[in-house]
Amino acid sequence: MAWKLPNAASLLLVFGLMVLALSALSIADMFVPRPYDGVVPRSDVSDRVVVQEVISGSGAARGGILPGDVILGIDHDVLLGSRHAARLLNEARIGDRVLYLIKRPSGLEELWVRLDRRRIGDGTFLYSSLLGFSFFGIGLFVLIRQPGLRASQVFFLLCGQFMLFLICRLRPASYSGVDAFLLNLGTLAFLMLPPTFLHFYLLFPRPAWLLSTESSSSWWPLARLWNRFWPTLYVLPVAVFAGSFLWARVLEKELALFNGAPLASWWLLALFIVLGLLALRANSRRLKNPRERRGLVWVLVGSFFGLLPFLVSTLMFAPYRHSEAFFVFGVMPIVLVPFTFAYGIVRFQLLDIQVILRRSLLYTVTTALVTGLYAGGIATFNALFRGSELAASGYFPIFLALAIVLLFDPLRRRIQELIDRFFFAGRSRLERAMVELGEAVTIQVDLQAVVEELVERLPKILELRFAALYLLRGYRLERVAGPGSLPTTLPLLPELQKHLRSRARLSRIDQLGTLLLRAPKVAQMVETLAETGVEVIGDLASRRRHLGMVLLSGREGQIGLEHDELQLLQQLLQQASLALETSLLLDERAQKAELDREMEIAATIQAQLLPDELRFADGWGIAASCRPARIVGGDFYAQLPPSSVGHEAVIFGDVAGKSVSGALMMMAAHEALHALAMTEPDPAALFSLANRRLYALGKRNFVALGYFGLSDDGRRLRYLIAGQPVPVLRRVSGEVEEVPLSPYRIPIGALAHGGYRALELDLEPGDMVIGYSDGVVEARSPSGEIFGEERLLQVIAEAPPEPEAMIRSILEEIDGFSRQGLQYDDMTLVALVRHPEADRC
Amino acid sequence: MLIRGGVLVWGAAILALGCQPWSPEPKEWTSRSPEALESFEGGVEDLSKAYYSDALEKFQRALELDPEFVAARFFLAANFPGHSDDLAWLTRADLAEVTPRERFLVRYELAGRGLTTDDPSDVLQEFAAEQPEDPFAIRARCDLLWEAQSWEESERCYRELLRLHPNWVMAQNRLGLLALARGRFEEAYEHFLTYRYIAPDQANPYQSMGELLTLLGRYEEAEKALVQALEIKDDFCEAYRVRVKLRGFQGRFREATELLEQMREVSACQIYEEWGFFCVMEAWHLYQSGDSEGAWNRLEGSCLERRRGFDLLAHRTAVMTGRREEAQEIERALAAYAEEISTLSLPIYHEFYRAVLDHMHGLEHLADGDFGTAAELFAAADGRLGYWGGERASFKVFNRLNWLRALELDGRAEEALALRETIDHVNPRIVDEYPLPDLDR
Repeated sequence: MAWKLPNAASLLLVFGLMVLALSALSIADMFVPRPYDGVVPRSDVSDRVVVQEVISGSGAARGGILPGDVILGIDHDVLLGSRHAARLLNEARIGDRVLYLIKRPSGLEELWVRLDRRRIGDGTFLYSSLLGFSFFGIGLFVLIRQPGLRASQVFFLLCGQFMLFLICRLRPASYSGVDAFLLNLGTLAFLMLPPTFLHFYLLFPRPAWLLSTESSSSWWPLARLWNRFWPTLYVLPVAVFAGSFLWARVLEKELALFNGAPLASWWLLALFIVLGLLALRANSRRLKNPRERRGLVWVLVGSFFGLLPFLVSTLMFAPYRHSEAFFVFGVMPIVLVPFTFAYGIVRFQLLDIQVILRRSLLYTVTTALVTGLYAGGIATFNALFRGSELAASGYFPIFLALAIVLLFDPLRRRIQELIDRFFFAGRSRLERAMVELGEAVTIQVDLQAVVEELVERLPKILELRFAALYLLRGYRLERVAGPGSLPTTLPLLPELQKHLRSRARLSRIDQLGTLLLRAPKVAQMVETLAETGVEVIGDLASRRRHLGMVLLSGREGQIGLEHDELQLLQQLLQQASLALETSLLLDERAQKAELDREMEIAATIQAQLLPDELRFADGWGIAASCRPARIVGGDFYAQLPPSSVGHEAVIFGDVAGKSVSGALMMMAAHEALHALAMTEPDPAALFSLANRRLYALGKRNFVALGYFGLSDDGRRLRYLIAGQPVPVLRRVSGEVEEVPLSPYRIPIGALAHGGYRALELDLEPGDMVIGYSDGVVEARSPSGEIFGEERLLQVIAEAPPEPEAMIRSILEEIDGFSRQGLQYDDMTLVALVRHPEADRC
Repeated sequence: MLIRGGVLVWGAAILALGCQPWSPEPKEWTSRSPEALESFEGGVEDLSKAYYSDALEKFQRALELDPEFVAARFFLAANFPGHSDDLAWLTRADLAEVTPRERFLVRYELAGRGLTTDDPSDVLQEFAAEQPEDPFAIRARCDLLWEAQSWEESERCYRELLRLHPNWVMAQNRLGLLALARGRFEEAYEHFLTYRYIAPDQANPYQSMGELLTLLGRYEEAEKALVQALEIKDDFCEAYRVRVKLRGFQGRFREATELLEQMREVSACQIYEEWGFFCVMEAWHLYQSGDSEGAWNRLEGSCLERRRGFDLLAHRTAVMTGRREEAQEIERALAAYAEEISTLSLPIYHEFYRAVLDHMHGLEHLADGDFGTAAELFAAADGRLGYWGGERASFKVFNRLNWLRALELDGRAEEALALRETIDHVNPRIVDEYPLPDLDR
């Protein structure tokens, strides 16, 4: 619910612009030079011209026209209504003497009226205009300071309507369409003022019980009813106004108007004010904070001394409107209303309005002082150099002016600094505290210390209810500090990050505006946060990366943070981001170092798993090599336990996945194969058992595996390839060919069941079989070219006939090809050769 | 939600208020030329204020600028003689493109003149049903009612017309006359004053006001108004007539005689000689001076003949000087005339002449000393009379003076006092200042 407020504030600003433009129109229209008689007609009557007021000193006043007169004719034309009157006046010229036909209870009269230039108005209107704009300015100031606060929204509405009333309703109007429009607008504003006052009284300084959520859940049915229907109070004045006219029309009676409104409207106004004051009084009894009570007293004082004189003088001394007495006793005190209300609102919310006013005043005084100093300086210079050649020079005044321009601002700043230091100690203290906090955060290298500074010290400085810190963990934000009422994790929302980046990384949630409409996920998250009392969201990020998020509540009570304070917070967040990044980097580096150490240990363990040397049956030579791409790898080779002497076998594997996960899988595969081989010498059965075991792990990790052993008679090579590349056979003649393979070559662990079958191959003495993992052929040159099978076959063909030499040659060729660049995959090579003397055995 | 609703309501209210004063006015007349339209509208305004020559000029100017301007031709043809060619043009005009009002005006005028087969009242009813608020339709209806002497309806009608077109001076004048006839003198005064306000350089409203003020005993104001009327129009015979009467009311017979001489010099007033006005007024002055015999002598013969054989003063002096036969002759002449006009269906005249007859009979009883019967007859005459302008209003007052004398002579003091109050209410000076020498108290 709370996040809907910015829409209200935005709409109010639109409303404010609208009423400001209309008020400006009301003033500007006064300067249009057109003949003016000084008659203020009743705005509610259009078919005839009934004089409501006569501007003192105007042509009508001099001619003897009185309030209550009905102007039947102007300049020998009987009027059809006020529009007709406006047309006739427009046809006349300023300075003309025009005959008016007037109807009074005593009969018809003809009166001469001299048409004057329309004046901006009497003192009352000038004052009303200034007062109206002051109202608006103060209302706007409060709204901008506290856009999310309902009381400030209603206060702005109140100020806008007051401005309309003062500038449009109290203007010395005439008959034109603009006049009728503005007068009716002013009347409308007048009608809406009482409910707005009441509304404000019900909200300030805290929502009255009747408007609170407490009452909506009350068992008292009347309270629930009130809670639902109290907005109709806004409709009531308009209904009474319109109803009075309708009633009069039905009864065919002349409606008694009082200053343009029926008496019933005035009574309602008085009733609303009384009800409002009672509500204010009742509200005050619930307040415990003495400062809130003081704010409320200001509002009470403003209402009483600002409104009461106007109401009394308007109701009881209506004929004296536009007189000096009315101006002094009726209109002037209204100025108390905006100032006391604004003071009450702003002061209560810890924004020292005195500071702002005094600062503006002192700036002006300072500027005037410095200007005076320079003026004195110029006068002194002129006096000193009068008659001299220097003064006679045309360049003298130019240089003097340049000197003044150059010196003016530095001097003013110096004086201003002194004044600021002297007068605005509170604000300076806050600024200093924020700077100190920023420094404290910046020098911290310990993440926990940074977090504590932000989450514990910051709320104390700004008197917030709480602060919370979320840090980025993977793809979500985790709460590392802050109240438990906040969510433990928050989603990472790119739209929000982007928006915050555009707002200097900090935003009140009631100022997120259209983002909430565009991004439902953000709206949902913000609504959750608003319910827990969060008012400000800050993004923690460095140039390189996103770090986390800060959430801040409002102050104690219902108050939000000030614009200045948000600026200070933005600076603090920048410093905090740097500190956090530094501490996170240090943290991560420490973790990485730890990991590196662990990896080295793992590599050692893994290396120890690989046999130092491989054994094979007599007459056979074997060599192997495993080169991991990272410290720990997924490739391996192993000596299987022999079922009998002369029946040694080796396996070479390549686990899907690299680094730690690959290494762990490799170890699992290694151990499984080793254990199973102890009872199962048949490679096909061994592979099937291992397949089942690894498949059962359920991670869908599989192992490409190769098996080299000997046939039962020990003369032939028995081999099985499951997922590994096809081994290469180099004949003693130097020819190179791939060994034939079984059709089922799926890596073990990939499928639930495997149909592995071992093959046997006759090898001539001197023939060599080279098994390898895919990392060998997939090695890359710096330009990205793959080593490939063709190169491998060529190396194998040209390499010496010894297994160790063969492996070394292959690895050297690969190193040369990749120029010892980054190794993309583990590489395992196993070379098995049948020695010539094997036959002899 | 409330704030948003409130702001939207405000926006709507501003729009609604803003649109109201600038709503466009509907088109009333059809012309291709804006200048012609402007001139024409000025002519209509002048016509409504009875500035006929100005109106004529503006209509002609409008027609020069736009020869196809139907409404301009209509106003020329309908209001000014010598525009039969415009009338003929209207009979051929294509009325498809003009406004309904223009179409109505042309059709109504042509029907009224028998140039089409349409019934004028049908044309009026048809248009009034379509546009009941149109001032020209209302005016046509009011004029019909006025001519038919349907006073109450015509009064309502003219009020309605003034609500829509308050500068229509004839309506102001007629409403003034209607108010006067019903004894609502203040209201009548306001209508005449308004008429004068609208057309201050016209003599009519001054004359109307002069006559009203004379009736009310506000002689000084009446004199001023009549002088102004004569300043504006020095051959305004009706203003002379009222001034003469005023002098008589004031008992300033020498000045009245001087005024009569002046009036005689005005050529436009020669018709009054034919009507016997001058000799009657001279006779009144003789009578009021106490010379009833002289008055009879002045009236007898050619003067009475010019008065169709009957005259109130002639009858009175005949009765008071013992010439009953002559008096009865006068009564017979009056009765015959009343019979003659009874076929004209104009109730105002029937009632007036019957009232005069009652008065004459009452006077005879008064002379015979039968004061009670005389009072009854004067009362009957009073009941038949209103304060219609001119001599009829004066006659009502004069009849009351006689009625009052009859009551006094009959010893009915309370009734006399009540009647005196009634007379004083209208004219507080007349009982004391108007001489009835033949009924000397």
